[in-house]
Amino acid sequence: MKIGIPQSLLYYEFYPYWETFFEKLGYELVLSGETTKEILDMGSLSCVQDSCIPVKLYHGHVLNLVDRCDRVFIPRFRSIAKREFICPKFIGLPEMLKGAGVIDDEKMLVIDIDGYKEPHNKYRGFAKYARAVCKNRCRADRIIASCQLRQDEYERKRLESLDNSESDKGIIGLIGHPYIVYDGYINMGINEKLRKEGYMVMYPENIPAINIDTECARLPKRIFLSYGRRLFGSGMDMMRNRRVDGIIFITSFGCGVDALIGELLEIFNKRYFNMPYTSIVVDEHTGEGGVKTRIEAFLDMVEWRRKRDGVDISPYGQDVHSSKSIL
Amino acid sequence: MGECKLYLGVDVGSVSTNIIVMDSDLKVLEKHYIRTQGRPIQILKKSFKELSGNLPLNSRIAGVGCTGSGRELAGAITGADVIKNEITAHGIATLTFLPDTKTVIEIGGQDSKIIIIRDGIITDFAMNTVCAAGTGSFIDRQASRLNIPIEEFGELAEFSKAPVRIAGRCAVFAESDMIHKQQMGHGVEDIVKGLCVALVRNYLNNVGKGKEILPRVVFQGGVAANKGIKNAFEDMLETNITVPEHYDVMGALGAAILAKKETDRAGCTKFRGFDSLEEDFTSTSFECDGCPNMCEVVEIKVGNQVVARWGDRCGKWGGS
Repeated sequence: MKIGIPQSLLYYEFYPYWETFFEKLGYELVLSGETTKEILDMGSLSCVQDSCIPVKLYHGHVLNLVDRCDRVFIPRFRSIAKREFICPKFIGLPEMLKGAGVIDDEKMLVIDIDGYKEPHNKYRGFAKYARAVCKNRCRADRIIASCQLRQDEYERKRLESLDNSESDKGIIGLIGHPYIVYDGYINMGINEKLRKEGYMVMYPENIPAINIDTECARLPKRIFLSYGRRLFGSGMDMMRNRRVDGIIFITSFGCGVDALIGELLEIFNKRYFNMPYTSIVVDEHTGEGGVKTRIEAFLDMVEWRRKRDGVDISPYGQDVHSSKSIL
Repeated sequence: MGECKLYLGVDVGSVSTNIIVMDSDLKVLEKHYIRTQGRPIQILKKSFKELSGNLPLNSRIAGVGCTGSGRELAGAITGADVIKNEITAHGIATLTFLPDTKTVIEIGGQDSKIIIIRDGIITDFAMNTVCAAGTGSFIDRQASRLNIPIEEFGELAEFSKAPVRIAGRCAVFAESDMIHKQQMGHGVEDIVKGLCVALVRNYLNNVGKGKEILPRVVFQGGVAANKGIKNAFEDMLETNITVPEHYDVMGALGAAILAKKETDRAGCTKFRGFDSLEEDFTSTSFECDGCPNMCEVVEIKVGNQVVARWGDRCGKWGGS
């Protein structure tokens, strides 16, 4: 069977698991490829008008696959961590696609991911599916174990590798949902621009989970949105430990999670850290002028402030390239 | 008498194109403020032609800097030494002329910005996001709706005794609100003043949100000519507002200052000369069919020679 995987939304987060899973089951994989203008156009035409751009893109990616495979894999994300949710659009994704007339029920392969009560068991939907296909419990469990291994390995590697790590000009923290920061089309090549200017890029995924938990625990109330937690915790950690020279918060127009998190980060930055900080809103426009102007001005500002504060030493007496104190 | 070095600053904005010529003591000799009218190349050529006739004898252009949303285009045509974003250019110009500035309010045709300066460097900035409420276009639109020339708009506001409250969040809301107030019989000057206050309220709530606005506050950009807006800012911020002498061309001035710095360092300029600007520039665009992105690539040609291309995402055509 040919199975299509839309290269969009949380694909960037879970693709090692998904790809291993379907490969081991003996399916042929078809990917929708990187986002293009065609995919965006198809998506925004079929999706409900007031949805955010990542969800519109997902519609486009599914449309791109529909005629090229037997079934399209649509994950239904209920929860990926204990007592936490992600954006409700992820829960209703299959229904949204069906309602928009993008894909029929029979064409969808929907697998639930639910770790709200038992986070260690969140992939049980995959196990159930594998058992049904293999008709051999041992083989199915082996497949699940190797998927988990691949995913863990990927997450570990991701933690260590900084984008453009040969550069010595400085580090910019790029805070945003994975489907925005890793999708070069929708973020208008912002990481590429930073790289070209000679900066390293640090993502929320470069920050260990324990640091994120520590930062979130400082808040009077628990953030119950998994990605909200990650963005807030990683941003705070980067600022507090001066891991970066500046922070760019990138969000899609109309994102409810980011409306809260972006504001929190900005307020805390002003109150405690006073770092170069800017936020960039992306939507359907393809004119790069606005983003370019803001990035250029932001990097000028970072440079000036570095010069004023001494090249590699932050006002807190720490080497900005490592979190080690040099005093 | 020695040869006199001049520096050219070009700011191609969405609504206006500003060109200045300054000497090495940063004194402005020539100042051109023209509406871009969507034809930047023709406008640039025309004004350069006028400009070259007005320059003092025994002078030469020693550096060119370009800024504004059309900076790449202007840079390709003139052979600029520096192509800089407008936020940095505005900041540099203000800092050079008014070193004790702490806040810059800049309102142009289609965008508005706030630049926060501390200890002589830019430490924070913000620009309006997706919509153009709180910019010059908003005032422009309402002025034409009221049939008042934009030049008299600000003066008229000063006669107001009881300004009308007008919704300023969106130009469309403002317009319906304004019509309603007109029908109720409010005086024109009160409505005009109300619009000025609405713009300032919108600016401070959006662009200036969460920013610490400390004096000295400098107000620049085309809208700074509008006394009504300046007064509204002064009332709301409860501080004096400085409008610099060259408020309308600060971006171009900043670009020229940066060009001077750059050419002092490099020792020579890349300026193509006024003669070359007489040549035929053509700009064409085409849709690349190399991949499904279908990028719109812009091509600038002098005669038959391609001098610049941009608009492609992948770099195939030399742009980025």
